[in-house]
Amino acid sequence: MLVLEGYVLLTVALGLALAARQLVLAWNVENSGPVHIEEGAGGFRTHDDWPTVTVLIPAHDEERVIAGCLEAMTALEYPRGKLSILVINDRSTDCTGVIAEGLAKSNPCVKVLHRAPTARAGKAAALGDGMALSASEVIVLFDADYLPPSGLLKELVRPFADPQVGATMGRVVPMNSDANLLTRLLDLERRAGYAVDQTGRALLRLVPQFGGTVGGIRRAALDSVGGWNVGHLAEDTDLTFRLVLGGWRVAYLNHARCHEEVPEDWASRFRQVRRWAYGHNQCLLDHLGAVLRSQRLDPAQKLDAALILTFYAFPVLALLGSFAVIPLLAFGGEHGLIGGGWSWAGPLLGLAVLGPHVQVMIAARADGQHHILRVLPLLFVSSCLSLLASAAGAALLLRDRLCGLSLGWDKTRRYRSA
Amino acid sequence: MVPNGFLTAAVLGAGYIGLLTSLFRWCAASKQSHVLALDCGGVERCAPCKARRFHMSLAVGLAVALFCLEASGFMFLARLIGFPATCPASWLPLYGCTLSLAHAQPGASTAAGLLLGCVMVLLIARRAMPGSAFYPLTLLLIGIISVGAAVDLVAGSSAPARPQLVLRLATGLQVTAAVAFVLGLMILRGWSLAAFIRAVTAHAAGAGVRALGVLSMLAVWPHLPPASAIALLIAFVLVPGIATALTSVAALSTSQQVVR
Repeated sequence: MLVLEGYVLLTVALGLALAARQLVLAWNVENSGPVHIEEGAGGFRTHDDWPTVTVLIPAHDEERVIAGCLEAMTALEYPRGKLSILVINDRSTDCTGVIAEGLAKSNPCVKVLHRAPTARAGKAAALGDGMALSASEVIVLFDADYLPPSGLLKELVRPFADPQVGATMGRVVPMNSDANLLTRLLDLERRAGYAVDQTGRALLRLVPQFGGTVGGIRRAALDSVGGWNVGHLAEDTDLTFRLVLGGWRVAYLNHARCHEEVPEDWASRFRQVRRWAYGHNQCLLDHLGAVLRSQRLDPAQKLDAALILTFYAFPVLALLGSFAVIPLLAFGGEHGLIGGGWSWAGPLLGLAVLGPHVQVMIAARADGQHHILRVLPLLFVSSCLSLLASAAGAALLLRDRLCGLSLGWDKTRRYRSA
Repeated sequence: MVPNGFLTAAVLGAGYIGLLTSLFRWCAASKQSHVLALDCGGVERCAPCKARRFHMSLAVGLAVALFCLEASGFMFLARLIGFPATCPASWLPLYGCTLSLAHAQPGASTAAGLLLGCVMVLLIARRAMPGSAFYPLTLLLIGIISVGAAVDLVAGSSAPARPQLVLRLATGLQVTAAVAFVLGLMILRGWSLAAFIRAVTAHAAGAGVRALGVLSMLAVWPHLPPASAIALLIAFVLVPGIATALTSVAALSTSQQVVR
């Protein structure tokens, strides 16, 4: 009983810490001026100032969306002669390569790299091969379903005028939010994650995350931290922490927005979160010690980074905690912190639950779309899915670490055509 | 003492599930688009809010009043139905309340029945709703209840769980709802009369749904072994209770009178 009680208390403490972090970030965004963080203002005034850029688009079986994506890419505004676009046809078994080659013929700045079926699977491996073909100073990443507006590229590159900036990250906006209840709930989660959480971290100079898409990386920064880590499923989070530990800064740009597709069915969402949880927990195991020991990070950054790293471990602890609390409350009697203290634990947990909801409310207001909050009471439905998927991801990682296996890349399903 | 616990629980539980379903349907039925345009400024701040401190005090006062009203209303309803609750004179309405329910000495068979019920619901859910938004939630709730029933089967205990736990959980939900009400008003600037009335009405509706859920648990409580009772309380009242705590925010979002 004592062990169970200790475990539940630890979980409650971590849950409260995560909620407090969410509320602090929300409070900061709420009380800041207009949320338009100027990064790199004043730099790159003339044509010659802008760095050379390669846009990398890893594409695995993306025949439904690749044409529309490339059409948007070729319309990007950037100084002539300084932009190249590289489609990485990553072992596709459909017509992705053919479509990309067709578009490359009519546009000289588009190139296509075909990866052999025997090449190593995974986004990081594909990006590594793409990087080998590029000599640009800045690499910008987009997934194959993304439709960037023409001015986005300059927004993502502008912060590199600051030599401390190693990576930039824009805001991802779901384009299919109206498809069903799931997409609406995911829209709420995305808004909270970007408009409040990432923005708050940027405002407080904490650790904004590089998300692996709608973002740029300074070539020199990537090389200095050893390139892409092909063994990681969350290569973006892994890179974020290696950059930050290496003394680089990640700049988040809330105004640099790009449309993406979010999963429209629960099975796809489950697999997506499971993959994220797997990769994120890999990062937890690999980087937590280095983060806590780092001389470069101040205490606030260390705390923020540590809490980000535990983000996908917490659902597992919470799920087990909800099971552990059952015997504690049933047989624990009036004594003990959990059994006797339910009076404080209940309200505290209730307040912890409000953390993400407050972020969503502030994000909705900042976006001028209050009406989306009508679906807010149902946010717990998608949270339950994430809870189960995160637990599955953590279990798979545990299995793989014990048995020396590795989880394969699981592609997210696309829904639109072109 | 409740004369026929199962009947009362069935009536209250059916009402609770019916109202909860209606609430979920209403929340999911938003017709306005959620898609955010890429070129919208999104730079929207409350220009110097002169009366902000006053608004905050007002909202906090309202939340405390709503919480006290809800807790008192709940106790009144509980006594009306026949639950013998005794509460000390306190500013925190449900804190320290005790409840003595007659215990029906449920055996291992109740836990086994609950476990069997979980398996049946799982089989039905897998066939009927694999693509539904609520399928993962159903799986999670079934998992929690199954763990409770399994703990009872292993422990073999028939000593009752303390009914005070139900009241304390109800307090937790009520506090959460009151705080959500304040935060909704503060963040969405729902200071117009229309918005305020909507929020209070929705809060009252949420409180009604919560009360039904808690009362149905109290009715069935004496007939359940301890771990099963706790698991059912978490799955049936606590998890969906989060939705009822946010009804005021959902109602504020539909108000055209929200001041930016």
